[in-house]
Amino acid sequence: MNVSRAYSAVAPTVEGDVLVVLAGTTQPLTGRRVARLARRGSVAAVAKALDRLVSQGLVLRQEAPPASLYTLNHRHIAAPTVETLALIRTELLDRLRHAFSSWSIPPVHASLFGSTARADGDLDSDIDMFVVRPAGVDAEDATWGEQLQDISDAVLAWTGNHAGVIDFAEQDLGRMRDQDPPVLGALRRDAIDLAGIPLDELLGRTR
Amino acid sequence: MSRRATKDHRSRLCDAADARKRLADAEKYLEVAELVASEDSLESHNVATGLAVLAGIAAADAACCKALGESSRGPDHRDAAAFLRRITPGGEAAANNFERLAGLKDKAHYSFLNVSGQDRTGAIRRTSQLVDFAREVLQR
Repeated sequence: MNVSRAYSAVAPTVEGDVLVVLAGTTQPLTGRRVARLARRGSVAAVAKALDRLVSQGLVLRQEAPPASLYTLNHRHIAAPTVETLALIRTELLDRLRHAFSSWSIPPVHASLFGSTARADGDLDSDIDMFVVRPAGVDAEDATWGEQLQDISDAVLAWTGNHAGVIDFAEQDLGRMRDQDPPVLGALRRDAIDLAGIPLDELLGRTR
Repeated sequence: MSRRATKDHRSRLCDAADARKRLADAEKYLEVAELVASEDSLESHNVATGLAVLAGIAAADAACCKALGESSRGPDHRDAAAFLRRITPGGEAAANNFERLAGLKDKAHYSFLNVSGQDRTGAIRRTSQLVDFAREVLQR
């Protein structure tokens, strides 16, 4: 899965980018606005994609001279599929949160970070997660290890991407704050909370 | 990008970077609102509610910038609610929340009267929901 355009697994052309923008609003948008909101595609490419989608009936065009305004045709038989595609990142986050919530040894904290969190990676990006292991749970604990393996396997099955998991001991958090390694900056900047104590609270300061 | 007003001057163009900035504002306003709300004084009711309203406005801006590429710029918060309502899915509920929150703005910011404890609690709750909504829209 391309982590910056997850919907492209199903809709790889500019049409996919256009449809995801239109699925996010009921407001009629100009082609130029769609191009500005889309993750990729020039104004000209977006205009062509809109023309093709109008001809399929999936997008409605209304004239507002000198502009044309576009909306997703929510009554179209394919509209629910588009709406699902538009929320594919939300679906990934929901699945991850659900998976962490079922752990028999809950993490002190878990978050998504890196290119997937920023939505600027590609097909080969790892899905990076920061998982804080409770004090008192050994790094070699079999149940903890199985949980990490299970979520890595699930991520691979859901996305085709490998999970990159930082398994971090709770008792080492203080030292990490003191040493301020680059990964801490990345976490503060990009992390999306998935489970346990929110990152801001965990690190004792806001991003 | 430049902060251009749209043709009707009731909104301004904005983008994903602006959305992130406004979400950060919203989170900070909410954090301070919750801190003030934890004080047991009448004055804290108005100040906490006032901060919650500012957080809600920033959250609305964030969601609108990401999904619509524009946000309300006028003092009439009905405009901001109308923009929120155009976001799918979830915009309708967020707009209703926003309208209830914005209804406390004048009392919290300018009035000689105190906002009730119940209104303050409600304002913080609605703002938390608005910030969660904005966060979710930015993560789509």
